[in-house]
Amino acid sequence: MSAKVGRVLVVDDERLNRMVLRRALEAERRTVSEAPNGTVALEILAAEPIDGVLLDIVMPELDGYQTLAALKADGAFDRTSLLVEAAPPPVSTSPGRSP
Amino acid sequence: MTDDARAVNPAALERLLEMTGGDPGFLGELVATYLEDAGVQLGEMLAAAEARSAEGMVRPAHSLKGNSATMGAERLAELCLQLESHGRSGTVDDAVDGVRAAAAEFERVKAELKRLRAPG
Repeated sequence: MSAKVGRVLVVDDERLNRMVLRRALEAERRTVSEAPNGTVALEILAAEPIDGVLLDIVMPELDGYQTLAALKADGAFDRTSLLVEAAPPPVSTSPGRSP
Repeated sequence: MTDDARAVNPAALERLLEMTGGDPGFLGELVATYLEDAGVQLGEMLAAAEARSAEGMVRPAHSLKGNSATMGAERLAELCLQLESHGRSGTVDDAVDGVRAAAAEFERVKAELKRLRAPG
């Protein structure tokens, strides 16, 4: 993630991952917000100026693919950098979806 | 991997420590969080196996797989990957033994993490 990405949203349902990523990003003097799923992530993106998103794929409620689609749909994708944090599962349960 | 292989790869913990700023206290918080969540996830996996619920197996097995890999518990991560795959393919009729194997490996992981975290 580039040096200009100062405010980062970590989207991951695993609190262990969020703890690790928060600490690592804060060590780089970035401001970190957290969301345990895509639904909360979209709420935060609507309310806070976020420069970059670290997005997990396999999550409950709204998963990474669905969150990405929603980001593209409302234009939020144009304002943020995005890194997909995790690989998709070894066997897909939704073969029609793609990033 | 042999049965006498280490339950936790210490290089993974060293990497985690480095990545999070080199604070041993914070690493302790991560270990405590992992152990607490793993106990819950194993309980959910056993319940899913006993109920022959493929859908119920996927999420806790996926979570414990990822968290175990983060903590360097490579054998446990592999066992959870197998259980997650069984869940995704709908073949959990014989998963109870697999979950028990994962639970036994978790006990090794827990002991190893406590040993690695012990002073001195």
